[in-house]
Amino acid sequence: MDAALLEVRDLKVVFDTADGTTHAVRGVSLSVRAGETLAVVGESGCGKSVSFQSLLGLTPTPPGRILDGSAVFNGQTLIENGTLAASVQRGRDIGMIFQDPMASMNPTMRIGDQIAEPLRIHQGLSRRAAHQRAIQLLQQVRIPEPASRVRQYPFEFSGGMLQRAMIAMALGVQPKLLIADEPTTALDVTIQAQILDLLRGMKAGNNMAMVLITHDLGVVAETADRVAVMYAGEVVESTDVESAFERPAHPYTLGLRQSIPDPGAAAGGLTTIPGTPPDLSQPIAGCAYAPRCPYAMRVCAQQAPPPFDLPVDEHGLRRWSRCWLQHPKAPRIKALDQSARGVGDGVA
Amino acid sequence: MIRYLVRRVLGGLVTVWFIATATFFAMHAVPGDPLLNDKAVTPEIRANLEARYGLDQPILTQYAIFLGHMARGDFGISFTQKNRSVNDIIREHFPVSAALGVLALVFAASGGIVWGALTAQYRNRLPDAVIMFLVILAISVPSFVVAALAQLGILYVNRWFDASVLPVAGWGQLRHALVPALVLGLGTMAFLTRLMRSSLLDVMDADYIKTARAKGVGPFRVFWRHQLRNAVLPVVTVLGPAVAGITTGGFVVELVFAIPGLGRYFVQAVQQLDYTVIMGTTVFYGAFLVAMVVLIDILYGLVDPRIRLQ
Amino acid sequence: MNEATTPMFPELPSSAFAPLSLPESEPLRQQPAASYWSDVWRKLRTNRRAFCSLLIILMLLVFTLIGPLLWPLDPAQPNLDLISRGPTLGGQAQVVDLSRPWVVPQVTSWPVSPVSNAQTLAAPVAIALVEPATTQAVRIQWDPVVGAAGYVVYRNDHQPESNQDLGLPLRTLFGGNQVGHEDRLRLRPGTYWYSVVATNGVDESPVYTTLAVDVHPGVRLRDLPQLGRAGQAGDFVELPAHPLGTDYLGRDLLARLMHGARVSLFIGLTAPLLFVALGALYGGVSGYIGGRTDRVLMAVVDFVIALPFLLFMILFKIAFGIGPGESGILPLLVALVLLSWPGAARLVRGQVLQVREAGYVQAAKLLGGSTLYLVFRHLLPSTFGVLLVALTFAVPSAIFTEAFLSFIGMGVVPPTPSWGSMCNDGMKTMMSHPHELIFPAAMISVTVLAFNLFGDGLRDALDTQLGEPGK
Repeated sequence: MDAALLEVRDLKVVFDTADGTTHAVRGVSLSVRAGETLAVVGESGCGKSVSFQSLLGLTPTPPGRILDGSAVFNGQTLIENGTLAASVQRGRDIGMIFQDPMASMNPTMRIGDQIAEPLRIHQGLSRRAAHQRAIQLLQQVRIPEPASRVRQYPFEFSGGMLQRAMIAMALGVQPKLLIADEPTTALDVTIQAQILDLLRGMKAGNNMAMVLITHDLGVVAETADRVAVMYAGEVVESTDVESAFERPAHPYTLGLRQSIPDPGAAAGGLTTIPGTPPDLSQPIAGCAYAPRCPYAMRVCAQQAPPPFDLPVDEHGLRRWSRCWLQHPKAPRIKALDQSARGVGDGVA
Repeated sequence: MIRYLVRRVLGGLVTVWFIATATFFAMHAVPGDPLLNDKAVTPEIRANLEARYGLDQPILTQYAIFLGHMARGDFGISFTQKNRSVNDIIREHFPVSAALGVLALVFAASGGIVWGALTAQYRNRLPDAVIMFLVILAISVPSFVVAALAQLGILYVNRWFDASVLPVAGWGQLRHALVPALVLGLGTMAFLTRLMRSSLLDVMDADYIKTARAKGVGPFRVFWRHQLRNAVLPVVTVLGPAVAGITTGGFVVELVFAIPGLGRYFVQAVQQLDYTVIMGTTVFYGAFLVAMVVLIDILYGLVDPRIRLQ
Repeated sequence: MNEATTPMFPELPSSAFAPLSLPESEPLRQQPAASYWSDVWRKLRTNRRAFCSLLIILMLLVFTLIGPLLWPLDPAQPNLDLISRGPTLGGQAQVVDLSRPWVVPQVTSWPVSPVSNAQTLAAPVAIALVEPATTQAVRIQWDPVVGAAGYVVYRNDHQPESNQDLGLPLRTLFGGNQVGHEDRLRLRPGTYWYSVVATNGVDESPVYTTLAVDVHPGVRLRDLPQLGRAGQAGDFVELPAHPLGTDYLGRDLLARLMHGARVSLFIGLTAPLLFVALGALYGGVSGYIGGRTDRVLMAVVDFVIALPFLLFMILFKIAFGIGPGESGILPLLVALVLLSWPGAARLVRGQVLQVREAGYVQAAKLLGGSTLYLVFRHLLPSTFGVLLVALTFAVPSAIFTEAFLSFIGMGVVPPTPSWGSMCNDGMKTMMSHPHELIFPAAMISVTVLAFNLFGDGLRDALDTQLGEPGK
């Protein structure tokens, strides 16, 4: 098994609010290998973005606070015992792009200056060299007339073009890992495909790993190698992309899969998952998904399920699911993969 | 940008016309006879006076003449100082007010930005609480009280050092202007501090700040290049009202500190019911304030590329 | 960890895997549905600053409405004995009858002719008080000096050390037989040192005689009815206390503050109520009708907003004029309303435009709700919150405006007290008696502070409809 590029263990992030403490991330463990694309999926508010933003120290503190956990990137400690290491060089080795390109670019700064900023900081380029490189980068992300576009302001760009510029900005310093936080959510469907194409191309060209945070399973199927499914601040299933769609091992993954509109199926209508995610400011007993789970068992309401190890995928990578249904004594469900071999450590 | 400019200037001119008209009719609604204010006048003198001030004409003619004079920048002759034109008075006293006002505005703007930035950086901690309390206090104490207390303060300081550290009143050198300008700018400074704080807090939570930090931009540069400029934008928009506040605040501060500015002169004219001076200075002040608002709109356009380029 | 470890499953009884029966499932927790206004009230109550401000505002109302009943001193009654006094707690005073004018005592048979050299003149002897010394008058008399052609009477606030240190020359008497003096010059309770020097009509003798006099509070007989007391000369009566001191005419500051509060708060509360109501009506009509009418009506609003506020307040005040015997409150009110309504009009219009298109109003319209019903049931209530906040913030600015205008002499007319005009009066004596400025200024500041903080709290509390901050 390859050493992971990024390995996160048991990350816990809380937000202190006037009404109490919200446990936004309740023990996330995952790993990303060099060159692969990991999709992190889940409903909004499940802690996807917060997990990765706190890795980079982007969670506003206060109210946000890393409670516990560790993270190692490329042999370098990012978080140890819940403390952010001071040595993190944001933007150089890990780049990040955000959901809403309109809001994520500084409205009063020229596009070129914004793209040049990381180049000048991390590569020490001169103003002129950074400017030239910015034009090159805009060209790479297929923005027409980059030499004049580089002098424009964000409001003169369309959403799709801004997201390309964001990608250029993040990839200019050739990071080893790109965290793309819902990069296509705010864009038109036609633009979405272009941006995903671009991301795939840039990733291959730079031999870079990518974490794709999304709630769009279509995007996952197209882009990802592996999938981490998050629910209520924890990873409930970690598997390869094929298994996630063909053999889900967690009822929540199954629910997500079933709620994709299937053009092939006749007037079956949309399947939805009934209920709402739990209130993370309240203590959760047992499995967080139990109140919505059609297969919930007694144990689900009492004990939080451990990560059950499933057979490795075709690349020999670990898969696991946090569901009591993986226990040998649990009833068999036809639609679920229940091939667990024991309890693992919850790191893929 | 040109169209934006033209639209702003035209709008400003219409506003000035409206102010002049309102001033004219307000002053003509004054009960009683402006000429009979002080002493008995013989019919001949009265007729002469009426002719001199154009009071013998029908009101619409007077209005037309008044507008004509205003358009040429001729504000007429003072009622109480019969040999002085209002233009002379404005020319003599306005530069004093302007100097004081500019200094006050500099104090207010720089103080507002610095204090606002400080409170935002220390959000919800002790420095924030202390500064915000002082801000609310500064907003709640009338300017004439601040002026009087400042004067009392100077007096005590001078007494303490047994020397004239700062003059209690008067005009002439920079040291005369320091405390009055500070007092004059205090309310605006408090207001700007409040605005700057909320504006900075908005900006701090903005996505593009997250982007900048994700790029690895250091905290100082994030503040300077990314937060400050965006946060200052809304502050620029309120500079118009701020100038108005400082101008009218000048009335009181000039009065208290015995500064020979137009504000003090205006208050005296009001107390003596010197109609032409009141009318002239009101229109002048009105035009000045409108000009300032237009100027600041244009300035805003220059600072914000979204307006400049559209 | 890669080698085949023995798969481990947690030991659990089979019963754990029985389907989750309903009773065991978490019951759906229902938040108690709080009404909008009770939620606002809860938020306000928990906001300590806003709540304290509310208490202060209530205390101010009590001060204004009930204060004058408990503190019956006349705010307009001058007392020239008590000009610009600091806070005093009354105390005893002796009644003196000063109805008969003081006549300088004279020695009738005075044959001695003046000496030519003043150096030879002796110091007066037997200086004595004629009657008890009070703050109303100190009367002294002495025996004539042989050869004197007159006397000079000095007063000092300490024991003189030499003939250069006799203090304030009170009077020069011409005539060696004029041997007495009445001092009524700004006497305060305490000790004074009176010195008398004989003269030969031109020069003063180098020797002097000093009398230390303890001056006690005194009150004139004829002033007793005014103070609500009765008594005769020589009696001791209790003087009214002036816990905040008196002003430059000797009027009780506390009483003036209470009556001034009536004026200031009346203007500060009435004007905003009126102009917010007027603006709400105007903006509501404008927004409801919409279209061209709306554009024209709003153009008027734009113009009125463009008027420099304080300049036009002054102008309007002059234009309305003040007749004899009027207080000037009404013109102030009218001018404030005339110039201040556009803010509320804009606010309400925006709100109405928003709500008019809202689904529930459209639905009500569809169901046949009449215009009046729509306006009163849906449009007005939706604007109530913003209006309340606007009203709260309008109060301090109205109080400020009143104070500013009164300060430059364009507000309330004397003798009607208002906090602004009291500040104006206090300014004149600020250097020597700062309390006359500080008390009314403090009242303005506290009131404005309270309304500002309360407004902040109210705004935060009313924002609930926009949802809690954060994800």
